[in-house]
Amino acid sequence: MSALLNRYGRLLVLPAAAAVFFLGALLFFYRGTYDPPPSVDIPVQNYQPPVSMFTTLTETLPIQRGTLLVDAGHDNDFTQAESTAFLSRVSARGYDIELLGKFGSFGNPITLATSDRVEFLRDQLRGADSFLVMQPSNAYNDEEVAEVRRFVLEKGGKLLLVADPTRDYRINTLAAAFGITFRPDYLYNQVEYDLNFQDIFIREFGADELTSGLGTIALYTAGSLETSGPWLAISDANTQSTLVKNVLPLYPMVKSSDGGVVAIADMTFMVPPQDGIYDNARLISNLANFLTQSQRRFQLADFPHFFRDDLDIILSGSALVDAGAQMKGLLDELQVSSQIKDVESLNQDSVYLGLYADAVNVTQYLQLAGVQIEDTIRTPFAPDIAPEDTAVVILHQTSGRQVLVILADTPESLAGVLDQLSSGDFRDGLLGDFVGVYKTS
Amino acid sequence: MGRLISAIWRFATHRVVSVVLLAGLGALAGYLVFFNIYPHQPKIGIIEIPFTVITSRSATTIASYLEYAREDDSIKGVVILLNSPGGAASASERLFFETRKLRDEKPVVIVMGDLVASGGYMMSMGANYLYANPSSLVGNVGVIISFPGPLIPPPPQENIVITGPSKLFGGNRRDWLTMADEMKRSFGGIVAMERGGRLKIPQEELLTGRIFSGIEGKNWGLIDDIGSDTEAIEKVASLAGVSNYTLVDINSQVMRKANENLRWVFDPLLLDFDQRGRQPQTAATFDSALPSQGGVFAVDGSPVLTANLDALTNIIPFGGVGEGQAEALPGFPQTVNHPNIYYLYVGPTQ
Repeated sequence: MSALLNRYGRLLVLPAAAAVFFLGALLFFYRGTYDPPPSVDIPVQNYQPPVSMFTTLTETLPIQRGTLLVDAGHDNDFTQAESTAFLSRVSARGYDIELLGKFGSFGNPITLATSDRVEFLRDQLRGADSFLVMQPSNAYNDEEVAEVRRFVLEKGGKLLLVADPTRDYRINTLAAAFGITFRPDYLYNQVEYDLNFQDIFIREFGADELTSGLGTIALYTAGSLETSGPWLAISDANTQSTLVKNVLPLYPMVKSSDGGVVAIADMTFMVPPQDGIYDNARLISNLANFLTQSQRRFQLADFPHFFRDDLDIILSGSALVDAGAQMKGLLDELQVSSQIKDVESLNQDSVYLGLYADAVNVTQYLQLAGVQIEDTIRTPFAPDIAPEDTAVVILHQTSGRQVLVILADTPESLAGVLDQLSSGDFRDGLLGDFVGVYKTS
Repeated sequence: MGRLISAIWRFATHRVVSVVLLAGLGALAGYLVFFNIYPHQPKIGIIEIPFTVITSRSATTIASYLEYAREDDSIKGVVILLNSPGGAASASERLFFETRKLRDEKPVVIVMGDLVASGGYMMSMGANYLYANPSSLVGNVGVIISFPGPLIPPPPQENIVITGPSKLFGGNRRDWLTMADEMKRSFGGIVAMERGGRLKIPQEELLTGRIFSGIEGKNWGLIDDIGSDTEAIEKVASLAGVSNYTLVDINSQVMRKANENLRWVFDPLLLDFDQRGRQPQTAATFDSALPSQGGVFAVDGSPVLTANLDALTNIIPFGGVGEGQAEALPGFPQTVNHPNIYYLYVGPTQ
C-alpha cells in the first residue's frame, strides 16, 4: 500500500488541483446561494361573488285613466326592451302609453327632426297627464323646454327625468328648467356593492310617497344630482363620486321644489333583471304611481284631451241637430265617444251647443268664466266684441267634470267654430286658458 | 525519435515535474468543470421589454425570454427592464406565472420604465424586487371587460339551436360583471400575496385602479425602491449570491436561437425547392409575410429563405392554426366574438 502510494500518490495532485481550482473559482464568483421566496397558490376559493337578493313585489294597483307620453324623439339612448318593464307598470295602472316619435326596427327610438319636434311635443303634451324623458341624446331647445315647463308648472303634469351617466345624454337643458342638474359623474362604492363597484346600494331616503316602502335599492350606474328641491335618496359615506370626493352629499334621486318633477340619475335599475333586486321593484312601482297620479289641469287649448269618458252633447234646440251631428263626427274622429242628449247630466262630461239667444241656459258657466253675452260680448281678457259672425267657447271644469260650452250667433257661425275646433285653428282665438272668442265669417 | 520520447517521458515522470503537470491538468479539469458543466461563471441575464401591449403573441415572445433565462444554468439572476401598459388578461397572467416560475429558480428584479400598469404590473408580481424611477407610472390594478353584451340580450335566431341559455353568449351581463369582480379581487389578491408585508396601501384604494408615480408606489409599497438598471443588477447579483458576473443580453440570445431554429426548419425546404427547380420569390415577400417571427436572418446578410408563404403552407402543416371565422366556419350564421378581458391601462381620454 505504502509502495503504491509512493509510486502513484502524486496522481492525487490532479483531483486536488481540480478541487482547489474549483473551490477557488467558486469563492471568487459565488458568495452565497439563492433562497427563493415561497410561491403560494392563489386562493381562488376565497372569492365569493356577491349574491344579490331578488324580491317579488305584490301590490294592489290603483287604476286611473290617463296618458303617459314617453320621449322617443330626441335620439334617446335606450331600447324598447329596456323600457318595457317600467312602462308595463304604468300600463297596469290604467294609463295609455304614447310615444313622442317612435321606435325603429332595432328597438331604439328614432330621432325626430328638430323642426317637427316642437310641434309634436306641444300637440302630444296636450293629451298627456305625465311625461317620461329618458336618455335624450339631443338637447331640448328653448321652445321645447317652455312647452314642458308649461305642462308641469301650469297644467299640473308630472315629469320623470332619467339619465344614466354611462350613456349619452343631454338632459340638463330640460332639467335645469326645474332647478335640477345631472352632474357629469358616476357614483361608486369600493366597500360594498352588488356586482361591481359602480353597483351601489342606497339605504337612506327622504320622506316622500316615492320612497315609501324602500329599504335598500341597488343602482347600477348611477350619477349624482343637484336640486333646489328635496332629495329623495342619498348615498352612504362609502359611496364616492368620480367628480368630487368627500365634499358634497350625493343624491341619485331628487324632486323639484314644486314636486312635479322627479329625476333619477340611473336607468339600469329598471331594466330586468335589476328591476327585481332588493326594493327596486317597489321603487319602480312608486315611480309608476307618481306618473299615474297626475293632477293634470286641462285648458281649452287641450281640446279634446280633457274628455276621458263618454260625454253628452246637449243641444239648445232642434235647429242645431246638424251642429250636433258635426260635433259628434268630430269627437268620433278624435276617438272620443259621445251621444246627443236633450238634458244635461251633472255627472257626465258635456258639450253644450247653442246660440247666443240660449245663453241663459248656461249662465252659470258664463258667469264663472267672466263672460257676458248681451249686445256685445264682454270678457275679462279683451275689449268688448260685436256678436255678429262670432262664436264663444268656454271650458268649465269642476270635480273632474269637463263642460265645453259653445255658443254662436247663428247655426252657420256654430258650424264655423266647430270647423276651427276640428282643424285646431281655434287655439289662435283663445283669450284665456278657458275662454275663446272666434270670428266665423 | 525513440530516444526523444524516452527523454520526455523521463522528464515528465520526474517527481517535481509530474506534480506540476498533474496540478496543471487538475486545474484545467477544474476549469472545464466549473465553466462548462457546473456552476459556470455567473451571468446576469438582461431582458428588455420596450413599450409592449401584452397580447398572446407578445406574451409568447416574452415567455421565451424567461424560459431561456430559466434553462441556461450560467444565468444566475435576471433583470427585466419593463415598460408595458398591460394588455390581455390571460396573457398577462401567463407572464406573471412564467416570471414567478423563473423566480423559483433564480432571482428576478424588474426595473420599471415609463409605465408598468395593470397586466404589466401583474407580471412584475412574479419578481423578487421592483425598482422604478420617481416618475414611472405604476399600478392600475383592475380589469376591463369590453362588450359584455347589451342589458337585455336578443334571443337566439331561429336558425340556431342552442342547448342552454348561456351557450351562445357565455352568460348574461350579471355573470360577466360577477366574473369581472372575481378577476379584480384575484388581481388584488395576487398583489397582496406577492407584496406581503411590503404593501401598505389598503386593498380598496389599490382596487380603485389608480395609477401611481414611482414615489407614491414606493410609499405605498407597490414597488421596493427607486432605482435604475445598475441598482437592479447589483440587487439581483446580491440575491443570487454571485460576484464577478458578466451580463448577457437574453433578447439577442433568444433571437439567435430562433434564427437557428428557423434555419433548421427552412434549410431543407430551400434544398427541396432547389431540387424541384422552382423559381424562388423575392426575399421581401417572405420577410413581410413573417414579420412577427422576428425576421429571417442569415450569416452573410442574405435572407434565409426566399420562398412564397403560400407555397410553404403546402409543405409545412400550418394546418388551420390561427384561422378566423371566415375561413374556418364560413356558414356559421353568428359572428364569433372574442371575449375581451384586459388588464390594461388605457390612459386619459383626449
